[in-house]
Amino acid sequence: MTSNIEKGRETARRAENWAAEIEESGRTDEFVRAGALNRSLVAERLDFSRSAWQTNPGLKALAARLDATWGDGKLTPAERVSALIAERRSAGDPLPVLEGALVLREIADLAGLHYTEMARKDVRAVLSSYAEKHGVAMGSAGTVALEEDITPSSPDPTEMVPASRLREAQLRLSKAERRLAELRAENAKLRAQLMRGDEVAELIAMGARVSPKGRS
Amino acid sequence: MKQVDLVATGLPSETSLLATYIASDRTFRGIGPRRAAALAEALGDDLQAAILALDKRVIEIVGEEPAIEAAAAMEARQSEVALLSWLDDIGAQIPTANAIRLARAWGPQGIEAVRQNPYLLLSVTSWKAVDAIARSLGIDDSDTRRDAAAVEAVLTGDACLGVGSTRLTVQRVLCAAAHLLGRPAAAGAAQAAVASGGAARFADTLQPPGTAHMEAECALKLTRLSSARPVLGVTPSATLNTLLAAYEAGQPFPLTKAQREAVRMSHRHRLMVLAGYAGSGKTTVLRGVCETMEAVGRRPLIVTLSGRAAKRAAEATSRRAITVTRFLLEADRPLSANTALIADEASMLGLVELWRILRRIGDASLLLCGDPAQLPPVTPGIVFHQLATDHEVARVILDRVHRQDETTGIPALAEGVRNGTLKTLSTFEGAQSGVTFTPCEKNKLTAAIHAIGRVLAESGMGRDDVQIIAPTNRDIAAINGYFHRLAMQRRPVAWPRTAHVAEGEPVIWTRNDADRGLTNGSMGRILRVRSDSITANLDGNVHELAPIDGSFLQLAYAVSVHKAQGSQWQRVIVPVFASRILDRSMIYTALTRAQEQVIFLGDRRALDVAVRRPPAAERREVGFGDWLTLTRAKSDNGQRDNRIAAQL
Repeated sequence: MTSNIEKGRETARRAENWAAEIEESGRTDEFVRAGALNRSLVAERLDFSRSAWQTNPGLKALAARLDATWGDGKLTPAERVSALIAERRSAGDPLPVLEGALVLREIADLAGLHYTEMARKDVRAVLSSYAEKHGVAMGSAGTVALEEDITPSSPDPTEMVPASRLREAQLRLSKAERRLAELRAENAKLRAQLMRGDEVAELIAMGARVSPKGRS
Repeated sequence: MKQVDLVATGLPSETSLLATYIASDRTFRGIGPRRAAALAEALGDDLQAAILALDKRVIEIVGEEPAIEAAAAMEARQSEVALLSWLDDIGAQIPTANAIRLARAWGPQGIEAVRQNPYLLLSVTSWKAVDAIARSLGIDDSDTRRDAAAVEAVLTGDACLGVGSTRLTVQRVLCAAAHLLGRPAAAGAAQAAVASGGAARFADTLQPPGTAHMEAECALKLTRLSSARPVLGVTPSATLNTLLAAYEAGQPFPLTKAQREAVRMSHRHRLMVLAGYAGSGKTTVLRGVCETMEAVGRRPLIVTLSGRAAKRAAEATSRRAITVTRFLLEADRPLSANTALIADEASMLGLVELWRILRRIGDASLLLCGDPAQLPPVTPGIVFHQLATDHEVARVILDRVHRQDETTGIPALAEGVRNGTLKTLSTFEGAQSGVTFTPCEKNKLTAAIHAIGRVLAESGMGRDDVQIIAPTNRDIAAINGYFHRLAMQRRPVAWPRTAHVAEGEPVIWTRNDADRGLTNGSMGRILRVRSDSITANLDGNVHELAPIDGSFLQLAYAVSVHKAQGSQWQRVIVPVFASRILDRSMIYTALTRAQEQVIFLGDRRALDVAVRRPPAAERREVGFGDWLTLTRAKSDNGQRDNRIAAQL
């Protein structure tokens, strides 16, 4: 029975072979959108799920290569999203929206971006501006509310600061303290290395060679 | 889901480390504890893969934008997440913060390293938990790694570091390791521990590698300092004599020969030890050192362990005195040659504190000043007490009691206690100079103290002029509880929600907070309590505290001898009952906290036994002395080799 890993490798090999055929036939433009590989179209053609571009290492590497060689590899992720918006506008199509919210993962696929690139500040800025202009939300809301979005059932009159805000501040503080401690430790370690040299190590090695005296 | 933040027990975890990590790390924006818990419940072991794949279940729970950010964060931290997931899989209940620290420190090699040797987890959790994990991963009972780890666990545990020691004999280590292993330790266990980096060897002793390193480094640095002159040169004798004479002229009493010599030596040596017993005039010497140093363009800087001691040193010398914590925070580069660093109350400095100070010494001179008869440091190691008896270090011992302090009788009595004797004492009769002892049964202690307090108050004694210093935590709790209940009968405004302290009560602050100028051990009183803020006077400064600060404040009707170290009051009350922790240094330290009157009460026999018992510092097993000897031998050999080489 073929394992999932082997199936994944096979899919990536098929995609590589297909890409080589397309390059040989000079039809790469058919599979480029907004300056990058049209992942949805290729996935449909080769009969694998769109999410495989993210989870299959071979497909992920192939997509990056084809973005650069078939598309315009010089565009930044934010520029690709802007190009997609312009392309859709000229075709009279809005960006994908579902129940009043942008469908971010579909936008990522259309723009040829990895999901992690969608988390970039510049990409979010472009999409946020689009969402505000068109009166839609930035991505669907979750079914589980965040702590600070929950109204307490019976507010504590003696509580001057909401517990949620205090918790958030404490979490930020503890994260900052952790990072500070890590940086301090790293700095101290590097300084120690410079200052100590091998002298202490040499002394400790000497100590290990000292023969035991008689002890009661 | 219950968040686990306890020492690991080896039982299956209830909350996954990964979910806790996602909830607490702000990189996973938009996912707090509720959403993390919902994700963990819906996805279980597939949590990591689902987030990475932007699974629709993740999007449904947290929303699309947070899901995308989580995928980005997860991808960026795959190695950390992998280790956390693996720790979850093997059921290691390690506190989340420790596990994250581990994951960041060890990176992608972490999993493989721990798989090869699960006992590496000893750095973040207990022997019991780690041994359970190791056994579950198939490590055999007789595996060498198990024996080596047991040795390491002994050295870092209660038998060694836990009692302030920095080493144990190999025999004692193996005996203690046998208890952990449930069988005799293997013959090569010590060697295996050294080979794996879990222990360092010196002759027939083993040390935790960290303390070996620190003691060796302190030995190297102190040896170098002790043989060196000040970087900016020795102050000419004629100049120093003139400066000393000018200083002495401004003092109410002439300096003793030893005091003058101490000031002179501070100008001649880069390292100097000033060992001064109670009433011997240490502060006079420190003032003289500061004044003469400033006159030749040096900058004296006094550091102490506690905030209270720093305040006293600043008042006594009229110079800047800061805590070691603040010094280490402020000193971002080594000290310059014109600095004369004075570590006052140096007997309170443990190995780690002194090691940290020495790492910043740069070109400065160092004067270690303290009373070696007092309690050893709270933290492991002994350095000052050893240097105070070292003939190769420039040192002055001040042991002569001064005329101005002889009226109380306290310094003379303290000298007796130092030598293991305590004369007969009269009973308490009221506010007067001197030392008394009043017999008292343990169950009548609080009432007896209350009665003494009333007598002192009637004589005009201020509340802050008297302090109860109790050697045992049980007595401290009993006394604080008794007086707190009395205070609450007057219905003062109490701390919001907890009511554990109230307006007017004496308190002690238990956390270092350099930004607010608060140090662990700062003492004072609650001035005013409102619902959203509390005003307190701590170490003479008024502070505005928040209700959340309540967890860092404790009652201080009675404090421990350790907490009292470095401070002084006009009168102290010291209850003494039989206890194995009572020894000569504890009685001496408590006794010398008083400027005018010491009131002992309790069991006279227990007091006598304590005074006869050798001081705690002598009972610690430390390696610093041996490292010092080895460093000097190495240095001597080097010099001899250099002389031989020069002749060739």
